[in-house]
This record gives sequence, C-alpha cells and structure tokens, in this order.
Amino acid sequence: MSWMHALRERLRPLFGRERLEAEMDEELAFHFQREVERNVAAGMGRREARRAARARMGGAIRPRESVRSLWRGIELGGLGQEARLAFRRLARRPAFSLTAVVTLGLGIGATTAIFSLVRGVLVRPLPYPDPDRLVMIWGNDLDGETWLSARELLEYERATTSFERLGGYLTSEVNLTEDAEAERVPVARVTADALALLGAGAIEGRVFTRREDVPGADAVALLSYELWQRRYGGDPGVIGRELTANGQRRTIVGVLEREFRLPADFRRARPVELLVPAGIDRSAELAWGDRSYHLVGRLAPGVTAGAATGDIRAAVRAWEEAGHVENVGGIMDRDAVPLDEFLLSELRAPLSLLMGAVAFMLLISCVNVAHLLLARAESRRGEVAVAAALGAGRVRMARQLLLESGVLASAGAVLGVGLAVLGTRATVALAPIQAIRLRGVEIDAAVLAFAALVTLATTLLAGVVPAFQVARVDVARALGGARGSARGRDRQGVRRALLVAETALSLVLVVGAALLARSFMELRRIDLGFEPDEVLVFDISPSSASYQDAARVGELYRTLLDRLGGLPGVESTAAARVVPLRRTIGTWSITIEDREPGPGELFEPSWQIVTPGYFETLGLELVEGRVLLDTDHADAPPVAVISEAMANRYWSGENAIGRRFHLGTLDQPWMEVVGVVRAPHHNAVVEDPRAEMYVPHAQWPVARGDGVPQWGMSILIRADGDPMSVLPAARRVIGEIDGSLPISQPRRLTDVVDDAVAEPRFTTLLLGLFAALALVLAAIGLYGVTSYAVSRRTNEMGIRLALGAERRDVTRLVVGEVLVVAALGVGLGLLSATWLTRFVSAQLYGVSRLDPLTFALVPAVLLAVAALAAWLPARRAGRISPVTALRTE
Amino acid sequence: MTDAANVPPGTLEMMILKVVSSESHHGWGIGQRLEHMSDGVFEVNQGSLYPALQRLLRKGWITAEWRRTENGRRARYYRTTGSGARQLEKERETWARQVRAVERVLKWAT
Repeated sequence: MSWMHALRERLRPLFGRERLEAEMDEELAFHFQREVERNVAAGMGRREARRAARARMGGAIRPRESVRSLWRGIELGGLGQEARLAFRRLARRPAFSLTAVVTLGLGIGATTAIFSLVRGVLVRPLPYPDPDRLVMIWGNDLDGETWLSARELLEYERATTSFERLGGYLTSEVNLTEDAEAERVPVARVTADALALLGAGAIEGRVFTRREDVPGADAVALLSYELWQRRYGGDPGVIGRELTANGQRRTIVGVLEREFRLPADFRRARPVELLVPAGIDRSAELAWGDRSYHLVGRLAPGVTAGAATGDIRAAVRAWEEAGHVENVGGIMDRDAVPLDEFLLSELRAPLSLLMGAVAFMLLISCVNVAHLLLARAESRRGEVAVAAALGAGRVRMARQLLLESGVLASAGAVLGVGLAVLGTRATVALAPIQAIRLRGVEIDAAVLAFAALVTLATTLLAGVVPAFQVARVDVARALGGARGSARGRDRQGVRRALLVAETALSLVLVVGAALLARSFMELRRIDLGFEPDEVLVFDISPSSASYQDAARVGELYRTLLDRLGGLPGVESTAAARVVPLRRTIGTWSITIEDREPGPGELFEPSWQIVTPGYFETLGLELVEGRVLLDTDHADAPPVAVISEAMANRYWSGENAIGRRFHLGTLDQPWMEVVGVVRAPHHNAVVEDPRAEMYVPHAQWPVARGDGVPQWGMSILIRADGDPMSVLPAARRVIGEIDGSLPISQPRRLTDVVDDAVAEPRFTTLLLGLFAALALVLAAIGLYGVTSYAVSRRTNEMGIRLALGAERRDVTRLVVGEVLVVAALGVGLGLLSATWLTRFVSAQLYGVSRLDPLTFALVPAVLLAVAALAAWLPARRAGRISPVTALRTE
Repeated sequence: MTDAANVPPGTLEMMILKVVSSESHHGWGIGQRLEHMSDGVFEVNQGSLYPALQRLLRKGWITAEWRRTENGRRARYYRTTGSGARQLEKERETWARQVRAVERVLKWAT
C-alpha cells in the first residue's frame, strides 16, 4: 500500500530522526564514492577526482541541508516539528503564553478542586448499604437535636409499617481505665437493630446481637477501628478480653470495620469509639418522656420518606388520643428525614454557593483565554498575510495557529491538573466539614475531565475561528490599508463583548465575596455575651462507680476547683454542664409557682448546671440580684440564677427576683430566683436570647428531686495569659486528686469560638480568593485589549500627536475607551448581581444582600482596576514618537 | 558537459518516476541515467535530487530499500509504486500539453 509507505515516510522524521540522518549520510557517501570512481575512470587523478566530485555535490552540505529542511516540515509538514515550532513561537511571547496557561490552569484547577469537594461531600453515597432507604426520625429543626424515648422507639415499631427496621442510639463519653493510661472516649449505646440496619460489620470478632441487647445480658463492647489501633495496637487477640468503661467491666466481642460510622458521627468532631448495647427493657413499662435516643430507620422496600412521615405522625396522634403524650406546640411532630438530607442540610447551601462561584471562575477563564487568543490571532494577521503572499499554504497557516492553541491548551491542562490536586488537598484540609465525611474526598476524575474539556474546547475554538479567518485572509487588504477595515472592527466588537462579559462576571463574584466578607465581619462583631479570651476548657467525667453519691461528686468538684484555683497564673475556675458553642444545651420542663402555661405555651428553659465561679470566669453580665455563691451548697435553700430572656418570658412585666419554680412537673423542691444574667450565645453564634436557668452543681441532686448528681462537667479556667500554659499543672493536680480521672479535649475557649464560625470563614475565604482571581483575570483581559489597541493604532496616535495633541490627551483617549467597555461590564454585572445575590442571602448575617456599601464600592474598585489595566499600555501610546508612528505605516 | 543545464522546474520528479518505473536504481544511478538519457543535456544536482526523492517517498509514489550493489556495497534503491505510475501518466499528459502550447506560442511569435 503506497499510502502506508508514504505515511511511514512522513512519520519517520518524528520518531526515527537519527536513523534517517545515518541513512542519508550513507547514501550521500555512496554517491560521492561513485562520483569519484566515475571521474577516475574518466582519467582523472584520485585527488582531482575527489575535488571534482565535491564541487559537483555542492560542498556535500547542501543536499543534506535541503533534505533536512524537508524533514523539518517546512514543505510537507511533520506534525511534531510544527508543534515544536509553535512552542518556540509561544516561548517568544512569554507574557501572552504564561497568562493563557495560568488562566487555563486556574480555571481547571479551581473548578476541579471545588467540584471534587462538593461531589465528595454531597453526591458520594453514604457508606451504608442501600443508603437511600435510611431515615432519621427527626423534628423540623434539622440544626437542633431531636431526642426520643426508648418507649417511643418501641411504640413506633409496633404502630408503623413503613420501616423494615428501627433502631436507636445515644452518645456520651466514658472513661476507660484498665491497662493503659486512663482515657475518655466517645461512646454510643446502640440497639442491635440499629447496627443491623446500618449494615455494621466487624473486621475482628463480631457485632453484638439482639440477645446481647437486653437487660441482664453479659456486658459486651465493640471497639471502633481507631480505638483498636490506638489503645490496643491493632492486636487481634483483644477479642474476648475485658475493658473497664466508667468502672463497668465489659467483654470485647468485636472490632468494627474502619469505615463504619454512626449517623451521629458525621456531625461530631470526634466519632464514637466504643459501642455498647442499649439494653432497652422491652418487657418493662417504660416512661414516655425519658428522651435520650436518636432514632434511625430503614424504610421498607418501596416506601418513601414522606409516607413514613405520615405513618409516624399517625402513630403520635394515636398516642395523644390515648393520653400517653401531649403534642404541645407540635413538639412531637417528627419527620422521617432521609439520612442524606439530615447530614447535609447545613452543608448544601455553602457548598452550592462555592460551586456557583467556581462555575463563574471557569467561565471567566474561558472568556479570558478566548479573548487572549483572538487578540493574538488579530495581531498576527499581517504576518499571516505576508506568508500567504509568499505562497505559504493557507491550510498550513491555519494549522499552525491551531497548533499554538493546542500547545497552550496542553500546558494549561497540565498546570490545571497540578493545581487541581493541590487545590483538592487544600480545600479538604481547610474545610470545616466533619472530617469523616471528607476522608474519602479525592480529586474527581470526571470533574477534572469536564473542566479540562471545557477549557480546552474554548482554547481550540478560540484558536480555530481566527485560524479559519486566516485561511480566508485577503492578502491585498491585509497587507494594504486593512488597519481600519470593517471586518477588523467586527472582530474588535467580539472581543469587546467578551471583555464586557468578563468584567460583568468578575463583578458578580467580587460582590458576592464582599457581601460574605462584610457578613463575616458582622458575625465576628457579635457580642457573644461572654469573654472567651484566656479561658481554658476541658471535660472530666468521674465514674459513678468511684463516686457513688452526690456528696462525693460535690466534694470532688469542690476540691478540684479549689486546687486549680490555687495554681499560679489562674484567675478563676468553674465547672459547667455544657460550655457555650462547644456542646448543645438542651431544655428541661419546669413548673412555675402560681402560673399555668397558656395554650401552646411551654415552660422549657435551657438547663445549665454550674459552680459559683461560672459567671465570673466567663464574664457574664449580671442584670439584677446576685450570682451563685459558695453558700448555695447542698444543705442551703435551693436557688437558681436565670437569664434575662427567661425573666422576660415567664415573669414579663414583673420582677423575677424572689419568684420560685421547680424542675419537672411533679413535686420537686422549689428553687428561688436570686439573680438575672444576660445569657451567653450557646448553640450558635447567631441566636435569639434564650430562656436559660443556672442551677448550682451542689444543689442539682436536690433540685432534680431524686438525689442523682451530675457527674460529667466541663472545667473552665480563666488564666492570666495563654490558657494552654496552665494545662500541665491542671493535669498534675487532677492526677493527684484521682489518678484514674482523665482530662478530655482541652482547648482554648477562643478556639472553640473560632470553630463556631469556621464554616462561614471557609466560604468567605474561598469566595474571596475566587473573586481576587476573577479580578486579576479581568485586569489581564483589559490590559491585553488596551495593549493591542494601542499597538494597532500607533499611527493614528502619531498623527494626533503630530497635529498637536497632548500626550496626556492621547493616554486619556485610550483609557477612556477601555473604561467605556469596563463600565458596560460593570453595569451588566450590577444588574446580574442584584438578582444573583439572592443565592447568597441565606449565608448573610447583618448585611443586606443589596448592601449599598458593597454595591457602591465594588464597581468603583473594578473601574479603578480597569483604569489601571488600561493606563499601563496607554502610557505607551502617549510616549509614541510621531515620526516612528508614521513610519510604521 | 560543462554547459549542461539544470532540469526545468517541476520536471525532475516526473523524470525520476520514469527512470525508476521499470527498474530500481540508487540515487547516483538515477542521476547517471538522467544525464545519459538526456544526452548530457541535464546535469542533476544532488541538492535537488535527494530532496526530490524524499518528496516522492512521502507522497508514496516511490518506495526505497537498501540492497547490495553488484560490487557488494550497500545502496538505497528506489522504485516507482502503482500510484507513482499513475501520477507519471498524469504529469506526462500535462507536460505534453504544456510543450505543445509553448511551441504554438513560439510559432505565432515568429
């Protein structure tokens, strides 16, 4: 097949260059020899024969050179050689090429990183078998907590048909005290059904069964993979051994698979490490109101979450009719919330926002590259026309342009992949999203391919269109006075339109980022109601086995706080059940003296248990009365401090001091209100003032009515200086008091507060970054177009200058023209922004989505950037020498 | 042979195709044949011969292979392919037309 030979011959210069050279050398050497031989045969002397042969061969170099030039593809074109040429041409314009490559790289990289994150978090299926059928039984407020009683779990099982299985778990912490160092770990009491419906599997041993999940069964425990590794060094022999959790001995029956998580874990900083059976007593008459479980269910095949919701609501109505529960204010209204929605409801909005932003980035990148390439093609029209006039094939000229785009696109793609890898890692590291969910987030090949494809397609398109124009170029016009031709102006129009689009897109991004930044500043300005600086916080949880009664628990905390308070550098100390912004505070129903709840009204303030030092240590503001004192001990009359909101809500228009209320609805002892404070923001940075009661830790067992003390408390230490510096001493002191009492999660309170705003910070940071990049890209675009316009109009400028125009006027003329384009873009951007910011508004705090300051400042900034980007090349126009300018004609 | 002319532009490739159409030859041999067959009118410069051979190879009109000459030296032999032969026919016709045209013009001009 002759075309195959032909193809091989064409490809040989690419792949077999050395061999080709060698063959040619041999062929020419052979030719030379024959030439000499012929001359000798004709009667010449050998030397003479050689000289004549050389002369005839044109100095031996010439044939070689002309063959080589063939290989180089000047006439028949080896693709590789042309690509190499294209590369060289690009290298000669580093500013242009770098800009294009970086733009492409940023577009591909940023898009891939964010989309990978989003897909990893939002799209990737949860690590459970058939996760679509998993639901949480949850109240309307997904951000809050919905606890249900074991009784409700059993009654739901009985009354509903929507679920294949229902399970429950409750999480807390326990102290592990055997063998190794005493340690406090997150624990979950789980029903065997919950494990089964979540598809929990063991890598060592087994998970526990229903038979072990009953009261009185042998005490067993399951280890998480992490705990197994950390505490037992991954020893398979751990199965069958015993551990001591809060003083209770349990047999280890299995180690869970590494990937296994309880749904709760996705919302916690630290996943559960120990699982024990819930041991619900199915034969007993359980209390309806003892709510401490989270309920999870697996829907029966074909049942929707909506149908299941109807099912459980019907069950609640039946209970209400039977008089078991009261659905006051709809607190018993639960939904069957798909697990996916349950876990992602908070993330969806910010991640979607970032996705939108990054899509804008991609668009801007594409526009910028298209624009750069068009400008480049324009500037080469003259060159192309000359080449065409000299007989260069037009197809080949077009191919060269295309090749240039191809080289740019490839380089951009390589950079993009690199940035995507780094970017994905960086966002995963920075993202405030629960670490567990992110563990599997990797660079997403599909996303990368998509981003690369889009940008590359743009590049090639922007390369091809002018390439075809080149192929059709009208030589005479291009070489002659084509400078002001109508077609030239059309193309300028396309590029101006691109520029307008780019400016508009950038404006939208910058506005979005500015709004978020303003909102974040507002967020940080919020008075949290407490002073987190220089406060150390950690948890301790004395086991009920070692401290059996209220007296011992009270004694422990008194000694502990006393000793800690005596440490050098410690200003004050306190203990609290839950620390603001660290752990959710719940509510407890109360009875108020001489008051009946109105219809739909609930007396359910948040409940806090504190030691007297709490108010001083956190710096809470006392509004009325007094704070708690050491004299409010177990034997003193029960008292409580309440929050201002509680006073206003339950005793509105009256003085709350001296009023009485008690916990629960039975005959618990009355507590007298002795003081009113302003409550700290507890569950979120942004929250309405909450009704909150502060019961002295010493009096809690009395106030509860059953003498049960609060074992686990958080310790707060206000230090003079960095609070972390007192941690070693605190550890030592606690060790001295009780060697088996571990400190858990010591942190600065300021870090706790920072974590509370981690998500808005992350979103703001990323969006800010994108906006900055967008601004840079827009500036590059404007710079490019001005620069080009200036070089095209050199002679016009020359004439203006020659006719007496001031240099300043010329500069101003050029800048003015660019500013018109930029202003158009800004106007378009503002219009889009007024509409698009509605998607940000859910993320905003304290700032209107149409914030006048933002909408005034951002356009100003953008125009300033545009002016600068135009002024730099425009200065050149002003510096043109009229003589040179006119000579370029 | 000192007054030998270079071949007219565009005809070298056609003549090479003809020379190697019935029998394969190496580069030097092709040059020799062209000189002999043209009665010494054409002197083929190596600077045009080898590039011309490369062009023909790439177009698939000739093939090349390394063989031993009669006195045992390695040389590269060229031979016209099927498509080369067809191309030769085409060029031949074109050339004949052109020659006739040129002659007619020259006749009229005298």
